[in-house]
Amino acid sequence: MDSVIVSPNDSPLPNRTTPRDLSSRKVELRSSLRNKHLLELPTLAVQVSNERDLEDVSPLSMLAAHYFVEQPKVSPELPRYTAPLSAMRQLWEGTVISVDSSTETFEAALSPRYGIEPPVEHMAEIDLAWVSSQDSDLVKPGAVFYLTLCKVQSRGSVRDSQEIRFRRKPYWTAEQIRKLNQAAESLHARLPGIKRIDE
Amino acid sequence: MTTKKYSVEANGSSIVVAGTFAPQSLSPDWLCARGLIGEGDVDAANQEQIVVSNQLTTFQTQWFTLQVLPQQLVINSREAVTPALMDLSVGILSLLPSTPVLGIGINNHAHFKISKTADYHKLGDKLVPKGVWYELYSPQEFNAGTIHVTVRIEPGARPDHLVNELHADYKNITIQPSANVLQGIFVMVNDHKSSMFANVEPADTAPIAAKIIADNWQSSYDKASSDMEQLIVNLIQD
Repeated sequence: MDSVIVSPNDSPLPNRTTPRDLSSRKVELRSSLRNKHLLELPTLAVQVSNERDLEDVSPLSMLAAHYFVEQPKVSPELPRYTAPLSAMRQLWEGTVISVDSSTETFEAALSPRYGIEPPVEHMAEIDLAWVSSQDSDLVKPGAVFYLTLCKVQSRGSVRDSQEIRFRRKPYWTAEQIRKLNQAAESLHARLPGIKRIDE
Repeated sequence: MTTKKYSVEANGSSIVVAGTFAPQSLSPDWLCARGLIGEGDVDAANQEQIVVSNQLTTFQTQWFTLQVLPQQLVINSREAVTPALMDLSVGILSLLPSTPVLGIGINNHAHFKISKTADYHKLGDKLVPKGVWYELYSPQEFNAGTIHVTVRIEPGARPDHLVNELHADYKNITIQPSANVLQGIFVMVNDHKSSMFANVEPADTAPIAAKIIADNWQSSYDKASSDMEQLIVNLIQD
């Protein structure tokens, strides 16, 4: 049995579809082809039993057929714990109000996000020692963090645990800012009579 | 004193994005240089198994594992579940705005310990009645057990005819015996979302994917948690 690779991407496919299967679904395939996504997809491998089968199916319809029968895989492999078992009990979202370097604490407003009854907001004073060193630069008024309280089981013992993790957002790089400014200038040049906000 | 019939022993979360990726670009250093993870995460990643290549990138920190294939990005929680997983996936998609995205999975799972062995068996038998199997294999000589069940939940009433939809939203709910908890049940909810990508240019899908994840992660977690617990209650009650 030959294998025909329609696109150069060599990633393996979990299921393969024979051209005879495809021809029986011709009507549905044509309707699927209306979607432009199908023309952009990277990979198709179709197994054929002989060369005549190849004549029955165009590469385009095979491409459509693959994605007609294959949904994108969005389930992860089932996890197997190697770390301690951890079960979330409560989740809070916090916002830093102020930082007191003399007492090495920060004041925060805590909003309930999961497992808190009644779901009411709290103010808290949190020791900076609970913040990991990689997040210490992020502790500034306005910064958002997550406080997770969980039950952890490890080697026969059970304990309560808490974790503070600060929200991180991607930086705008200098190159990205330059390109955005360039695009804005280009757009502005095509809009005569429109004043720049910084003029 | 009455003991609870079940308890949640562990839970976790993952975000899966199906699309087209360049695995070699998503290294710990790259993510750190763009502010999405910290230097401590990079150190942790480099101390454990790490692969960065054209076909596969995989590494783990204290709080997440990341795997990138040319057709898939997977971010899994490690230990405590945190919305920082959502921020990380949204951040990656924001940095790669032209990435074609086909679908998203917001997945949550839990391991439940069932207090009584009788309830454990009742749960499996209610989920998959064994009568038809004991017609093939006599219960005097064989035991029939449930290993894996996945049920798909789709919006709308059951249709008269079946059509495969490329861009559909649905949930796959999976139940298995737990591999980590003795007399335990593993439940996973795969919240699949792809309808929003229909009729959208592939180069415009990543910002949509980022917004879907940001808007839906918390509600998906809440709904999955209540569904999983209610399912266990329904299966062990008389």
